[in-house]
Amino acid sequence: MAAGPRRPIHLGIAVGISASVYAASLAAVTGLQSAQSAQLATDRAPLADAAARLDASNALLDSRLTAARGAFNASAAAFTNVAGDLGGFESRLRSLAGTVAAIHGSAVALPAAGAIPRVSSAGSVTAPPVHATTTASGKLP
Amino acid sequence: MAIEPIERTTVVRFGRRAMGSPLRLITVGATDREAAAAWAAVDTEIEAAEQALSRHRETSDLTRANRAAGAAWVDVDQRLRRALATADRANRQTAGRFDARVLADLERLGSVGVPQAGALVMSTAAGPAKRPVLRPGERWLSVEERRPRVRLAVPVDLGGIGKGLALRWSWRALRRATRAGIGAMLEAGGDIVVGGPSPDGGRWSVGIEDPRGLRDHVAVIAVAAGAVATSSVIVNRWWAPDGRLVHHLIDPATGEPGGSGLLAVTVLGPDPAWAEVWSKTLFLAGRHRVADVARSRGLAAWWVSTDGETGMTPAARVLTIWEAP
Repeated sequence: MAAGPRRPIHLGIAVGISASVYAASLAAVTGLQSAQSAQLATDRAPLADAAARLDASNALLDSRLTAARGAFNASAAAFTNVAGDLGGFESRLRSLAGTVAAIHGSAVALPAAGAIPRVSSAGSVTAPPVHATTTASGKLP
Repeated sequence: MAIEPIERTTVVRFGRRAMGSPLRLITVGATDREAAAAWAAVDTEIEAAEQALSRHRETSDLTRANRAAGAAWVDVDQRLRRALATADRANRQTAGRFDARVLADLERLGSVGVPQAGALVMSTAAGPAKRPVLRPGERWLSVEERRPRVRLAVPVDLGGIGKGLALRWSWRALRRATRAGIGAMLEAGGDIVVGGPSPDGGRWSVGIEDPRGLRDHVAVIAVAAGAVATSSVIVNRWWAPDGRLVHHLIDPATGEPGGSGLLAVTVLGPDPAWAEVWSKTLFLAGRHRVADVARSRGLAAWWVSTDGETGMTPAARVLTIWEAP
């Protein structure tokens, strides 16, 4: 039997060993990276919570600002209406001032005193009969 | 055919003198027995009130309290305690216009009566009497509810308000002695209380005396129920020791007779004591202020000025059924 060409077994062993070492190294590096990623995630958790709360606050503030804007717009509209009415009030006040001035003029023209007619019972000059008469107090002896 | 009984209105009249003036009672619709019981109740109450409140009786509770003023507590009838408390309240209600402490000035001016003020009042020839000065916080009246007893810091006069209270208490006694619906008129010293139907079946007609005496009345008013009191200067006048003609309505602010420009003021109200208080207060306001004060209080008031003019408030005008032309 003829002997075949001699194969370089050591090369195969070397390649296998190298591949094994590489695989082991890769596994170690991967494990290390995974642990670091987990630690990083743990460290960042409070910051993420704070960011979430800030986001919620911002949303609330935004909604309030929206409501305030709405109220301001309504007030502005009402003020615009009132401002429109003021013109009418001013013109009516001018008219009232004119009326008051006219009344004052009439009042000045009136006499200082006026005679009020006396009360009488059907014009009788004699008093009707009475059941009693109220007289001076202080008649104590 | 049955004969319908004729319904008659029974009017019974009583009278005597009390508090130096005529005391009259008219009942309408009461039986003779009821009327007699009413008169007995009035008579008893008037006498008790006079014994408690008069400064014209040597033995009255008021005379004893006045003479002990500034010194001691005095056991008194409940009526005097109530009267003094009412006078104190009237003083506050009228912002001092009504003041029972004018007794010192009355005595200085020579008003008749049993001497009350004693050594507490230092009489002067002119100007207000020198009254004891109260310490800060000290009140002129101290009362004890249970006993009852009072202590006065200064002597007091309960003339007008005393008469009004006597009428108030007598009226209540009268009402307790009669059935509801009985008409009655009680008059003492010119003050009048009425209630129920009059002898004519309607309201009571009350005349307001003409203080000048030119006619019987200056006005006639119709009263369904209430009290009428008049403060006037036509009767209780006298010559003072210094020769002046003075009257009994003393202005506490000056210690002198007040009511400038007025002869008489009449007030109608629900209670005779307060009608007395307000008639005197309005009188002391004088002619120029009487209308404003009366209107501001919503009083039904009539007044006659020294020049003969008659005035009245709006509340009085609606009650006036006749006014002298």
